[in-house]
Amino acid sequence: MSESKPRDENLSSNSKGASSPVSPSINSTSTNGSTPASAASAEASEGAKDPTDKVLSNKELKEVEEKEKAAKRAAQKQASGISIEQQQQSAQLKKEKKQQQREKQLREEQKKLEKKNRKLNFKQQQQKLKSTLFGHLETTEERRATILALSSALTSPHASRITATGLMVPMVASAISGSQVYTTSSLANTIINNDNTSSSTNINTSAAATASAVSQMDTALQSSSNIPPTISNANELGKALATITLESDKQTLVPGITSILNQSTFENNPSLVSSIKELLSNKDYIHPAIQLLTSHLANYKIVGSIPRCIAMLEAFQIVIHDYQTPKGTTLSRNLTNYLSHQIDILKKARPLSVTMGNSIRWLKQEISLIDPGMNDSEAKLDLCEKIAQFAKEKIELADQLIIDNASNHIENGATIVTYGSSKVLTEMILHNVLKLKKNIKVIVVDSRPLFEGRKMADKLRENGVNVMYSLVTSLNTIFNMDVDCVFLGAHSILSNGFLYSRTGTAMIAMSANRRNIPVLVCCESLKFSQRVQLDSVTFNELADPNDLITIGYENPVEKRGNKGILLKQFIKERNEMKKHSELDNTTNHKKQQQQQQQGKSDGSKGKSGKNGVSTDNITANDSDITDKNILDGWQELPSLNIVNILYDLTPPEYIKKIITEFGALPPSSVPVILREYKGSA
Amino acid sequence: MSSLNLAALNSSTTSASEINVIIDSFIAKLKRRQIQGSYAIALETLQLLKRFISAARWSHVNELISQIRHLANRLEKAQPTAFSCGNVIRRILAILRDEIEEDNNESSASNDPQNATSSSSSTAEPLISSMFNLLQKPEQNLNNSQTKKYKTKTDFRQVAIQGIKDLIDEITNIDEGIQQIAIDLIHDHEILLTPTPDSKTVLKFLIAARERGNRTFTVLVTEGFPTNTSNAHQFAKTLAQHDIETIIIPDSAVFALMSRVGKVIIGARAVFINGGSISSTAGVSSVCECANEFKTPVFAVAGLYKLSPLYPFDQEKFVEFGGSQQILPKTSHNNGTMRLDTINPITDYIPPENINIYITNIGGFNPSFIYRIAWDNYKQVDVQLE
Repeated sequence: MSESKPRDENLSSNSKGASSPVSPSINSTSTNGSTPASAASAEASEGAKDPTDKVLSNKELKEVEEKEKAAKRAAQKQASGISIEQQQQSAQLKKEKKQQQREKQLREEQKKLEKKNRKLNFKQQQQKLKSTLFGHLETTEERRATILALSSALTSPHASRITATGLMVPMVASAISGSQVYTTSSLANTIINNDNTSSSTNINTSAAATASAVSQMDTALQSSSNIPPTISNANELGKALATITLESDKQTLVPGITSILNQSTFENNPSLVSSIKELLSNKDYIHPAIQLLTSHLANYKIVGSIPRCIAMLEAFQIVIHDYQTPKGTTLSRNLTNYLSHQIDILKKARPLSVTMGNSIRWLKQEISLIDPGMNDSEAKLDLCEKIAQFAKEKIELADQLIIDNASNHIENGATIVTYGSSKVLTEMILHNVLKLKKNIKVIVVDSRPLFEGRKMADKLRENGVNVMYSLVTSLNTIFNMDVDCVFLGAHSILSNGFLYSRTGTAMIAMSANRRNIPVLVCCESLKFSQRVQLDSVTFNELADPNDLITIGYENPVEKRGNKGILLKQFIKERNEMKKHSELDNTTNHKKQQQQQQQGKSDGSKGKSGKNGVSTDNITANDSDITDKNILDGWQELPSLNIVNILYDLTPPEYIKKIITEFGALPPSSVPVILREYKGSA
Repeated sequence: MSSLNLAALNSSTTSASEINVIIDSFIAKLKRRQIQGSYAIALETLQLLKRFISAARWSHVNELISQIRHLANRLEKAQPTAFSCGNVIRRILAILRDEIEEDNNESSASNDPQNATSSSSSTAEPLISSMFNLLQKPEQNLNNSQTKKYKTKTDFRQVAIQGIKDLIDEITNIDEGIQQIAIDLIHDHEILLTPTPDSKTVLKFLIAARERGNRTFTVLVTEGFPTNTSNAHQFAKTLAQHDIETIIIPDSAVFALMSRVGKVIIGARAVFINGGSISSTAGVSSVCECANEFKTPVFAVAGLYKLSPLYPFDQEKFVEFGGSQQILPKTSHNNGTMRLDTINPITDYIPPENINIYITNIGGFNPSFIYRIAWDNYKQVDVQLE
């Protein structure tokens, strides 16, 4: 209690401060009215004191007050003999006055917004300084922003309501993804309508619209979203919002998203915003299968270049199956175009793997080869079959050949080191142990944060393989054991012989090479890439730095997936809003009570003190739920940065042999294969 | 001087049983790893040794020496990887032996000028540079020479306690010396990598370089998963709070980023006579290997007390291993009875060829020169304490 007292005083002083901007407006309206009006206002304020009226927000209170006042004034004036026409005229005048006032307020708000923006800009500059080495790469934050924007636009308003507490996403979503097919064109219209000269005022109104939309939507949602008129109203508002957000660069794209993502991600690169806009304008083309795949890829539910490629090919089969050629074009011409829309979305989940890129190239070639005279359904069937065949040839059969070839290198009683998780290597080891009955020991080396090796170790162990699991930090000890050879999987092999694979691969290859342990790479020729690259910094994929914050053996990606950060964020913000409203209520309550009677102030203090305790409890619970990490809130430290890259580059001199379906070859022969077998791949 | 004597007298009243209790509790602490870090271990050992010497009774210095050796042996057996414990005791032993030698020289010079030459030659340390007495047993020599000793004039208790005090002084002021030398080794806008985030010396040095050297540089910090991750995060946070550009990277990304790194800084837990060192984080040897592969210089910072006169013939004896609970998830489905081995080293041995330079509080040295520095501070007699 003793602690809560000074706090109460603070609160009351705050509330006084907050009340001052409200009071002049009341005064201005009540000056015209005579004593009964002021009495009414007093009554209204008394009514507000009732705890049952707490639900009403300040604005609504004011409205009620004003209505009452207006009614009373009208009655008064009628009684004093003023005609209805005159009344109307004076009412009009007042309305105009009010409008002017409102505009003034809006302008002030706009100024505040600009200030905020400036502050944010400053923050961005600080953040821009942050990324030192990988500033040229796309961050997960940006990718996630794109995907969130897209998915909120694509999914139903109900689903997206949860994704963002801003309550804007659903409106934007419903507006954009609403039944109207002409959304894009309407957007274009509005954009054209807005001249450059009127842009400043336009922003003004947009700010106003957002503000009003928020409040209205809030109330609408709170009452009940089932009533159709409110929804349609929201839809309209949302449409307006969408147009606003899309047209003005100063505003953030989809306001709701910014509650989850850093606002500066949008603001400091206009290219991101424009790319999202472009995607949104094309969003009608996106097939649901692709959308699902995108979310799976983005959440690392499908990892590994081969599984990703297979998943993509399967999705393409569905897409092609559902595809219908629009009138006026042929399938061979339009399908490529249609697919490239899908690929644009896929790219946003994660950069395309080399396998995906290669198979897309092949597919496009196949489409272009289709005879224009062919029946559409026939051509579609043919394509689907070809895709299945491609997957079988390039992946399944190739794996068989690789396994056969690589098995020659494993002797009975050998000890093998592998890194991470590779599909072909798992199969190869199982083949050796189960079919060829070799007694081998496998050391699976793993690393943070993805812990893919666990998957492989579990699978091998289930099948009775002698497995040792260790982390990349214990390399020195591992290679002091009797290791015969190192088998590595690949994401891709570049034209200059470099192996592009999961981070840590290069370190293992280097360590093995220094100890004269042969390093063998198993890899399908589908993974061969035309690209050349010299170090791992110039081109790479950035994963979420937050994955490194949690310390523990659990996979942070899985953890994140299980807990649902969006929901968590939602709950957190909701709690904060609750707290705010509670505080408001208590302060209002207190203020009024103080005005009413100062004798009872002790009781009110006790009450608000209790309230304070309850909010404290909430925060304590929150901190309990979200386990604390040392690095929580690292974004605030301007000079702290976390780099979580996914791939690294192994120089060819560390690799003894690359085993492909064409046989075993040295890294220097990669361009030969690329050249000779160009047609088939 | 008088106060020192008084203190010595006061503490000497502590009975032998009492000091034994203290030693036992210290040994228990070492075994339970309740004292972490070579710095703390060194200081605590010195405190213990001070009390031990104060309480000890002896008729001849050699008795004292053998008592100290016995104590050192017990401590070393309790925790063979707490090298600093043995190191500081050996240094005190070396001080005592130096004093004995000086004493001998003086007394023999005054008593018998003829005998002086022979005794001095026999008591002197066998020269390390010569191979002739490589197979000799130096201990016997000493014992023979010392049997015919007379009463010594010097107060060895006082010498030893003064030596301990000096050593404590040296250890607590080690960072100063290191910083002054090391700051000159990094330039503005350099990217540094440190794989030993639990080293206080590295932390202090980096902060000093930023504040005193007024250099802007970027520090990459590896995580050292699983044992040192929280240390790494705390380390990075502290650096960032001191306005140093800090980037946390997973252990696997070291190779990928090594091409950008200008220098690798490691903190050593123990430095062996061959120039190799033990670090208290796993994975440091791989980092140093990477650096070596990229020809990136590696410099190790270590106080003089971390120099150990031991030779790492058997690496596995010196590398500690931790439990599997930090590596394997609790929820690992234990289907079937198939076993799953894990390995979790918590320290790492770095061979001398992967370290370019050692920065100690008395200067920077090549790893190949470390043995010289070691023999300045230790006596070969005391390498094996058995």
